Amino acid sequence: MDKNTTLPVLGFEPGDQLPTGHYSGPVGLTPGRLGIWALIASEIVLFAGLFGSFILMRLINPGWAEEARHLNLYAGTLNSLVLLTSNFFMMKSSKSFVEDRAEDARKFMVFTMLAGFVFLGIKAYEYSGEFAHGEFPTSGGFWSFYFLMTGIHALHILGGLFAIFLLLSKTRHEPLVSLASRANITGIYWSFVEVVWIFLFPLLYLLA
Amino acid sequence: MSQDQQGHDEHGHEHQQSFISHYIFSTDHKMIGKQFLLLSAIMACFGGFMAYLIRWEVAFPNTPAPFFGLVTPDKFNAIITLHGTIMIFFVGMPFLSAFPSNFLVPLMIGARDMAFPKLNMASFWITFVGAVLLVSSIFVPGGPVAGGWVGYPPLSASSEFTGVKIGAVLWILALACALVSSSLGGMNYLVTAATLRAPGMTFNRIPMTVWFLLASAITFFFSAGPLIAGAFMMLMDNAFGTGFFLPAKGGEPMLWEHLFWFFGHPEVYVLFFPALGFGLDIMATFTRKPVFGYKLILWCTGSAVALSYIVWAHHMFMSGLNPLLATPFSITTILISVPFAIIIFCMFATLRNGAIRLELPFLWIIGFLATFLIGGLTGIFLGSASADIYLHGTYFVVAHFHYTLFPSVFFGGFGAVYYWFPKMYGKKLNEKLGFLHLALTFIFFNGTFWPLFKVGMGGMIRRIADPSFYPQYHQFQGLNAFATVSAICLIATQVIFLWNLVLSLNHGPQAEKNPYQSNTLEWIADSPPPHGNWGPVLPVVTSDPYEYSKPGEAKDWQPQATNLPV
Amino acid sequence: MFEMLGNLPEQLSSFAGDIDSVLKFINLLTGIFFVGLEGYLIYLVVRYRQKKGKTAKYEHGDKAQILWILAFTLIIVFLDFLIDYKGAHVWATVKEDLPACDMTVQVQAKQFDWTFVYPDKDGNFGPNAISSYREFHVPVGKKIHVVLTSKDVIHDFFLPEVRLKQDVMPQRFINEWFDTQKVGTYHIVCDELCGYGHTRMTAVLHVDDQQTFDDWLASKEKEQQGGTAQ
Repeated sequence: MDKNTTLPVLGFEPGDQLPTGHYSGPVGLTPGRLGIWALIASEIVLFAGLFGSFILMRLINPGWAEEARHLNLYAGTLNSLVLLTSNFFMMKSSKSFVEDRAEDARKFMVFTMLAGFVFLGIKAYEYSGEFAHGEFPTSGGFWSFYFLMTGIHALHILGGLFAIFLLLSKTRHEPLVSLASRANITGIYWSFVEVVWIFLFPLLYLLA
Repeated sequence: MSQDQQGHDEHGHEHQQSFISHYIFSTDHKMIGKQFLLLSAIMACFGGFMAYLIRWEVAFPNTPAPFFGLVTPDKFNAIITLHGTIMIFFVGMPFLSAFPSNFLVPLMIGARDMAFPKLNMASFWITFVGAVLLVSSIFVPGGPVAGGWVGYPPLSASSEFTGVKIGAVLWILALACALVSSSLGGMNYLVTAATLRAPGMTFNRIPMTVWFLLASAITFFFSAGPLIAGAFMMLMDNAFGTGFFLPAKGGEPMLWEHLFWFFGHPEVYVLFFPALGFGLDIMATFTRKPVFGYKLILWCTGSAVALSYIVWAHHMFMSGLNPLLATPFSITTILISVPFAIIIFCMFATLRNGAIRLELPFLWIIGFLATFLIGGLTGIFLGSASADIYLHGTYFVVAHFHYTLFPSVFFGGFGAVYYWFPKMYGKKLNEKLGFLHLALTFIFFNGTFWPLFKVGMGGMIRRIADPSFYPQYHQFQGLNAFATVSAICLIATQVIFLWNLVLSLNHGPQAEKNPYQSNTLEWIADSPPPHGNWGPVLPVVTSDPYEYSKPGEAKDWQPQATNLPV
Repeated sequence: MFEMLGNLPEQLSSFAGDIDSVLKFINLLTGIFFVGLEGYLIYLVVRYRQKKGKTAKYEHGDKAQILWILAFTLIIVFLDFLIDYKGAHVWATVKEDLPACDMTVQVQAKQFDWTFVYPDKDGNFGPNAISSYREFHVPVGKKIHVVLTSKDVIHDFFLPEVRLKQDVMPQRFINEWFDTQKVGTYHIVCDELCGYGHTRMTAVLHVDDQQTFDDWLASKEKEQQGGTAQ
């Protein structure tokens, strides 16, 4: 019962975060990786709900095809390319973490984030164009779905940018190798956000 | 509550920690579990008070309810909505899923904490924000949301039908907080159980409580997404005037019904699974027998999780769904009863040939089985599409789902609290008060909801604020008054528990490490377990969780890990 | 459980008896299981309570025991299917098949009342259609086709004595039917929360003989033509 003696034996101060225990997962599966896949699984269900609802409503309302033509297809296509490029940079950065090349890791992370911001910028440009044409979330079913789905996706982009920013600031104080797993996880999430766009883009822009 | 002062005495070694990092922004799984418990207790007071107001108005319409005043129809609609939302998302979920998952999962698998302690803390505070939003909606102009807890649009999707705008937005935000928090929590429990089991804790040695808490988390995890999507749409409809669910603007109300019940039906199992898990563990301990059919139960649980996603439309038989769909959904509904029937029979078989110690936690579980059985059997009425033509939307439905949820949340949940209380606080609860609490809860629970079956069979519909307006329901006045008096007694009975809590925490006898001679890992840790749970050495698991009464052994139990002094 | 069915309202339609027989059948089966299982639970707890010198049996469930459980479960599944089988034709009669009906009435729901619209002489729901507010008159013995629609939110058209219930969806037209076997006055309620006035959203179902019904309809028509047009 003498807790006061057992804890110092471990070399931990009382307030410290203790190591969480014996690792029992399959080889190569860190809690972080499992966690990010679980998070992605729950996100997939969320987007499945959104996409499913949209497809259902799209089938009921054939007239939405006409409204989809009002979307800026060029901006959308450009954005897909921007996001692909951004992913490429993130992969390069992830690789640099493993190979312990700090300069490259930081450089490519900055590129990734720049591309992310360009994506958001183009999105904002599209939105302003649509507002100028008098198309708001309240302008009918298609527009409600369009703004909701791209909006939620943009929130995910913001979340991803925030995660990359945190990682970037950590590289100043921690050795790259200890952050490699975290970089990998961030990369997985960033790819997921990209994949969502890959589904979103044809669904909204191309199904006209 | 006195939990805070108590914690100080018990966790003497953590005095250096500031009050805030220990009690408020704690990342310790045990403290977060207790925070969830406290939150659910506070919210249960709100939910219980609303239950009292609902019952009062139904039995004694147009008379002012003591401590409140007249329950007018607008207040009535708001109260039933809040009662449902609070009880499901802010009492049931924290009490039955978050609290035990946090407190028990790491202890029972031999981990020192959750895989993501900070995320764990975040998940509590997100729930807390949700609870605050929901309660604050009572005080905003326009009042709280009044569209029913199922939130059917167009009623709930636009203020033009109820006059409630801010309240509705706050309600959806609270709902979203609860959903996000439980999803994050579930992710944490899954990863913890997958990656942080003590050496030797193979899949076959994981206690049932952990398995069922995980089943609950998985069920939630894959059903909540569509409703989160739906909540976004509902939010936009209410806050920005879009028309996802408004037919006048080209929307489709049925879409919400699908999204809601795709989540809503699995949610029943999310709340039922943990109670089953506690039940099996507590039964094994007090019958001194291994759980009957360990693997069979796990297979059944897995198939129940899978089937839970394809039964939702039986809530929508009367909604204008294509009537041809009734048959397939009736069949899936029948199929999902198979795994649950097998699990219940395995529980019966565990009792058989046992040496049953009639102790308090065990009796709560028997109370859970006895009452849940009624909920399960009456479900057969409602699962039959043709019987549903008459019973849908009557008090029969109210009685049925209270007979499924109340046993899970209260009988199962209190069974767990009484069972693990010594481990949580290092004190024993007073047995006599516990028995009184159980006996009165059992009597008054049945007294409240049994009459409602008869009222519902008589065709009385739910959610009407003023039954006196309906001459055909005057004959049920007696039954309704009986149910209301029982409900008030049921709520009052819970004061016994609070009193027991205060009494035992301050003056209760010190609990031993393992008061029930139980096998599972949490009983090897100190009561209460210190930060990090296990001291310097992790337990090494050497046997199955339920090796009770093994022939040829000197004692009738065998702890799962033997490398620690017991 | 058995006494529960005593509260059922009287049977007005031709299918009310069928629905009640499904209820009675389920009630019988669940009643048997209720008594059996609760009894067995109490028996187990009393019979196997701890006694001096007796230890529990160390068993994990061998094949034979598990087969017993599976067999018992199979019986339950069989009975479940039996219930559905018995109910299927009732469901088909009430909800799936719309028989040839003698007259069509449009039921319009809105917050918080019912309007029943009868077709004009040519069978159209045009400007000459006859509206009745909160009063639903039908001739006895005739098959009535109702077209349900709502102007605002979801309501639910519930005739307890007829054993008919259907959600009324906004901007949709849902077809239902029923018949009546007895002259009298019966209840119509809204069974879906529809807002502030939900609690008073009722109407009256008058089942008249043919002559009374025709007279009522004629007087209603006259009243409508004489008064201001709707």
